[in-house]
Amino acid sequence: MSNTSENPNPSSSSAKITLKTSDNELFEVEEAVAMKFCTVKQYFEDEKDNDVAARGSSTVIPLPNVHSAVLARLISYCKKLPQSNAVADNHEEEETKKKERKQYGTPGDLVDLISAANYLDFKEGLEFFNQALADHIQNKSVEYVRKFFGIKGDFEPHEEEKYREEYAWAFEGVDED
Amino acid sequence: MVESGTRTTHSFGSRCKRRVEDPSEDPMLYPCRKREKDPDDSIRSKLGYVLIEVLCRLPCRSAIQCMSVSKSWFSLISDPYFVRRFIHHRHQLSRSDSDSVPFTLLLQYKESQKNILVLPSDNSELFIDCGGGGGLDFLDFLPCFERARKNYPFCIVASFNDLLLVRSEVPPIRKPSFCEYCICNPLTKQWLTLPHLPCSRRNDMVGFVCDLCSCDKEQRCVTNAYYRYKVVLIHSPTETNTTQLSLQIFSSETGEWRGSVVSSQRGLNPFRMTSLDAGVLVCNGILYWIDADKYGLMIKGFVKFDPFNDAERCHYIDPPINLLPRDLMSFGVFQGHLRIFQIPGHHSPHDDGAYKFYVWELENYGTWCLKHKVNFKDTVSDHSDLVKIANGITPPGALLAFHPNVSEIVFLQLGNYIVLCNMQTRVLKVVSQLRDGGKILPGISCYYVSVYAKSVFLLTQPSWPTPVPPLPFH
Repeated sequence: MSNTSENPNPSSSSAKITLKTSDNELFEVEEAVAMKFCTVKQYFEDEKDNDVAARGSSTVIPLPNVHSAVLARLISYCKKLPQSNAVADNHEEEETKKKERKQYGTPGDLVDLISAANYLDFKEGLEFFNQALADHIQNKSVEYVRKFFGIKGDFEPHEEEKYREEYAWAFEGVDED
Repeated sequence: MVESGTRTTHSFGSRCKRRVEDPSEDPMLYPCRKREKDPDDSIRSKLGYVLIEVLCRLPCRSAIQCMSVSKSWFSLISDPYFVRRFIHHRHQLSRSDSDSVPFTLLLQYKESQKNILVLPSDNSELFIDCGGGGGLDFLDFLPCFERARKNYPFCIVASFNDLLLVRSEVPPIRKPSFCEYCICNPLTKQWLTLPHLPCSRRNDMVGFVCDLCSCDKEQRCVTNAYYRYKVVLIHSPTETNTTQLSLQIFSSETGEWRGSVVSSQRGLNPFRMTSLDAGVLVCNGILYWIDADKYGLMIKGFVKFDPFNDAERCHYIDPPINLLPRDLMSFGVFQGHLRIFQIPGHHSPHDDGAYKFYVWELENYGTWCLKHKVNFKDTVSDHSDLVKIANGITPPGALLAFHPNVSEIVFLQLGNYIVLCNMQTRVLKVVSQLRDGGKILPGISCYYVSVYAKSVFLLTQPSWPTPVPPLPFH
């Protein structure tokens, strides 16, 4: 990815786009980065059609559903986008990827990143953060998952018991939190 | 600050979402969280329909556990749409990595078929616990298992992916006598009993074929959330050179057994040892079985029957070469292709006197292609018994199954050993040894246990266990 600050003659590929977050912060980002967000891309292209793009970097794209803190993290993720989200060929690589996914903070942060990535239609990011959130709850007990998502179990105890019996094979080997 | 020109911001959706304060998080570390609390806005509602995308990335067991989180999660995860998403996601990830399909080789042999040997691949989760005795006890969740306890005929007769078809009988010495087929998933312990049939004294063969839905034809992704299936009972022709074959077919769509007559252009012979021991093979939704000469010794060809798309007639496939009475031959499947394993019984004059085996594959346009030719003399093993068997004066090995993921690897039986043979490097590796009632049998013995092809089941484990749906209502 090109870095505009090192480029004395900004070409069209390194043009900047300004994004405005829900808390009215402005982010000036490289076009290549902004175009990863399909929602932004769509807006930008529509603007172009309306011949407003002639104003270049003066275009401000409002993102009323994205908070500045979240957008900052999405942009930084974009800049070091992993090559591929496909399952790693070997165990070691998969472990490295898992660690990488863990760096993206607490589950609460991930939920914010997911809902923002979903809103921005940022496919690679959505894939990555969805998996990162799944990593947090995989092999955890039902109680843990409930607490984590703030859900109250609404099954009658005997219903839940019956269910656990029916799917006994799936309940073997759970980390209790 | 520059305002955007022509657009108003509401074109991006007007729902304003706010964060939830999580008391376990330190606001100093997460300054962006210092905002007002909104109790209605749970993590779940924030994720909305994206939740399904998170849950379908869980391992299967975790996802099934999550069904008991709440009623709404239960309906989300138990919906066939979820299973489809789950399988599709796995499929996209695993395309580059085809040698990882988990599988389990299950052998049923000797003494009214009550010995079981289970060989799971490293990544298989299908733990079949035979309780050390190597018996059928892992099927004790089936109601028909009580017949096995009474020593009535009870055995596995077919498999499809992770499903087993089990047959049990109340023999004619008891009244009323009947024969019962049961479909089950040994992992989830779901089962279904098919309507009873009268006991047959004829030589029947049985095939079990499922037609899975294709969720994405281009990517060749199939999903097992919905499927239809047929159990096909093929009655042996009563006379030689028969052109009308009598079948009984159970269809999941009707929930009934129906008799049917299928025509064959070629005359077919009664089923004898050669056909019966080999059983029925299923490949791409089509059934195959062996047609032998009237003495049941020499293989003449293969009968092909497609119960879903061409149920009126069956077709005939000639073998790649004319087989001789002393040739050993069995058939198997590799990734949707029919394969033949052949050990010529006669040596040509220029031969070194060693046994060889050939592997032929039926290609898309009905031509046989010789894939591998291995001389047992050239095989390599650090196991002295295997070296002895490979160089012996009797045909050394028999085919058990082709490895589902690797083209050049085949499971063979050599003496009482179960062996993996790499047909390219010619390396033999012992995987297991046959037992009888829990006792390991000597590897080389003058009489070794025969494992018939019809009793070798290669179970492959889909990323989501195949459900066993109830029969349609009448």
